[in-house]
Amino acid sequence: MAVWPLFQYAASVYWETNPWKFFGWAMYTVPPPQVQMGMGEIHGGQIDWDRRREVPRPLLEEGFRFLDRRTAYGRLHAPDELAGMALAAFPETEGVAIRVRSLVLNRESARLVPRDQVYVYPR
Amino acid sequence: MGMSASTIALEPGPRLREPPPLPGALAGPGPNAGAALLHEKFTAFSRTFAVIVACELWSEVARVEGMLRGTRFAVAVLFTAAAAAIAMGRWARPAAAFASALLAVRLACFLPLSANHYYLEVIYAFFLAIPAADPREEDLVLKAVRSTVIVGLIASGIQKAAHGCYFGGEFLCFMLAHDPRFDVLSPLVPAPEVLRLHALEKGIGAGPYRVDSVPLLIVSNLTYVLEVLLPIGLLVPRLRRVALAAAVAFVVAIEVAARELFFGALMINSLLVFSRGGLHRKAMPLLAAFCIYLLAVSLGLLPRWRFS
Repeated sequence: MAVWPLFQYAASVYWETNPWKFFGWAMYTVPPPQVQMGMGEIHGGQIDWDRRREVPRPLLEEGFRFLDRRTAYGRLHAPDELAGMALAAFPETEGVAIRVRSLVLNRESARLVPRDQVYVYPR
Repeated sequence: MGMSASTIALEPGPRLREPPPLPGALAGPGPNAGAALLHEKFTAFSRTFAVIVACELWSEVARVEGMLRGTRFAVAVLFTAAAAAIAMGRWARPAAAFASALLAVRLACFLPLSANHYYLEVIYAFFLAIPAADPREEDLVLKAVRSTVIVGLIASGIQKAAHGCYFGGEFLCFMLAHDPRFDVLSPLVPAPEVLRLHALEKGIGAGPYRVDSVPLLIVSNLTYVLEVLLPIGLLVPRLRRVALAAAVAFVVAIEVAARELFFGALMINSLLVFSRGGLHRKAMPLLAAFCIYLLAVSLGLLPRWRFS
């Protein structure tokens, strides 16, 4: 129990796991993580982030489930399942890309700054 | 006719035999008094723990809609039965083992969103499953609880310093801006700055979450400093009484903002294990009454107020 908080701290720094979770005694150490997600489509080898289309309900629900897990597990949880569902839902695309954005409180500027990670899933 | 030395050693004469143990209330100074106090403290801890968790579980059933409500209800019913056994001291050990397994199921059901004190409750119930009739084993459990409190407080303080959002009060400013629970900090911050923080919207570049307020800076920095110093005070016998009073006051102060009141009760019950004399026994009805009050509020039987 004495060692676990050290591991939890390391995990929150390297994998962006949620310090508020997993019994590391780190609640109220940083603002609760804010995780957002965007999905793009690949056409002609380029990612189009701006294309809007109606998202099937199961995909939307999986998106919310992914956000919950991503908020907790950080980079340890990739959106593979979500991407698989998106590829199945939009068969005309060459692939999909998922951008995961965490808003973190920067210590120097005391402002919220984005930390992005983009996952590309070609068909 | 001569007896061997080993026979003599195995059958001590009347003068070597220890007197039978006295009931706790009658025990004066001496080894029995120590054992009685130990047992009293162990009983106070375990009974209070059982009441806190039972009230918390029923409170969750009352408050939470939808998400695994049936599971919460089943856990609350079964835990209440186990808590009754723990509180009455009958089948307490197997009941605590069952309670620990039950709380572990509840923790697993809500992963990864399980609250941190779910883990603490599983561990405490597991600790309570250890002791048998031997007072030394009860002492071991109380030492384990004390160690958990020490580790928890120090780890919490070090992590606050390591993440670095307390030196300039950034974390508290963020919470003051976006979490109404932290409005209690408003008097520490100049009014225009409070208005500015409240007007901030979470988004890229939002901030700065920093204000020109010495009182807020003091509170912010005192938080992690106390979380490291108080456990050290609890470890030093001469400082223990003062450190205990300060630690309880500290938990109360935190809960004024955080309002995770069952967790606060759990922490105070853990801290009281450091107390001497019958303080833990005396505090037990207060903590139990507080948790029953919180449950009554959750059930809508009593009016809600700011800190409930």
